[in-house]
Amino acid sequence: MTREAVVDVVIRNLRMNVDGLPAGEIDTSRSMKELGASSLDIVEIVSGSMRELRIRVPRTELAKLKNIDDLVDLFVRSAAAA
Amino acid sequence: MSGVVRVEALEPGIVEVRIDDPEGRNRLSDAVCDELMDALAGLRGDPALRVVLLAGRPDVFCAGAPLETLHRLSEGAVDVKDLHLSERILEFPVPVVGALEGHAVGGGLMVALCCDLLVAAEGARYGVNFVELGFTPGMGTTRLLPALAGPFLAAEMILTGALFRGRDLRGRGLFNHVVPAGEVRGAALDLALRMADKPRHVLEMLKMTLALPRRRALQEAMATEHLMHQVCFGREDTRAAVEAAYLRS
Repeated sequence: MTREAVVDVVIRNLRMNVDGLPAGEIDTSRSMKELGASSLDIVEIVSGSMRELRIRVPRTELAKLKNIDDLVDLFVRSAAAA
Repeated sequence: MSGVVRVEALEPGIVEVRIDDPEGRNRLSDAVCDELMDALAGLRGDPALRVVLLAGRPDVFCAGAPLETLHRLSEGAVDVKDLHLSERILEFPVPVVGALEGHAVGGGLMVALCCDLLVAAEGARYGVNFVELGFTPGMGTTRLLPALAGPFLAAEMILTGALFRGRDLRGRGLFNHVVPAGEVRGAALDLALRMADKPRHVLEMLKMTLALPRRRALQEAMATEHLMHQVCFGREDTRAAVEAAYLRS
């Protein structure tokens, strides 16, 4: 799976779960919190993305991430290892 | 009361009890449970009281059990305070209106569902995520939630641990009204005002009658939920699963 495809999945789940996001491209160097997601929104965004990508990442790994790019990179590595 | 629960008279006959523990994210710590039960105990004898408004913080109503409580459960503790809190709300003499401006999750949602009327926020999250932590629900979830939400929604909430936004639960049997977060307290207060001018003895009898099915459901659930917890927490992998999955933020 390409990195671009993973970005698409994450952004789609972000838009499904957070209101008021800008209409155009999302800056993936930002964190979801900065974009207005609550911690529980993030739980749903991450779990929805993982189900779509058919991967599973421990929450302890997820806690270390700083922004959307970090999350995408982690998903890409997990998908490759699966 | 200067701790984690605030009590304030709002209007004649209406008192607000508010969980306000920003450090603890309004989790059901011993302090929160104790102060809530003390607040309710102190109010029940006030003859002028007609309605209690139960509220939390703008971002979180109640986030369920703290990690220490889950540790105690995993060590075999039976008598956890949050269950007593549910009973106190259900048997409180006058109606309790829950104003859920923020999230209510796990035990936090189950405490909310012991209120008599509920107003929730469109964008806040509501769910029973016990299964995400690797164990079965407590707090009467397995009987209360199906009774209130119907078997299918309850099954989805319990089996998947999904965190629903308030707007997705509108009209599904859990909440009287789902409104923008900024309007929750106003809507809850309006419900309270509609009851506050009614005779106390009428409100008491109706509260007792209307809450009885949920009191029974809570009692029925306690035995089986305790047994399921004994199975879960008798396993070594459960405590590890809790540590790994517990959402600390």
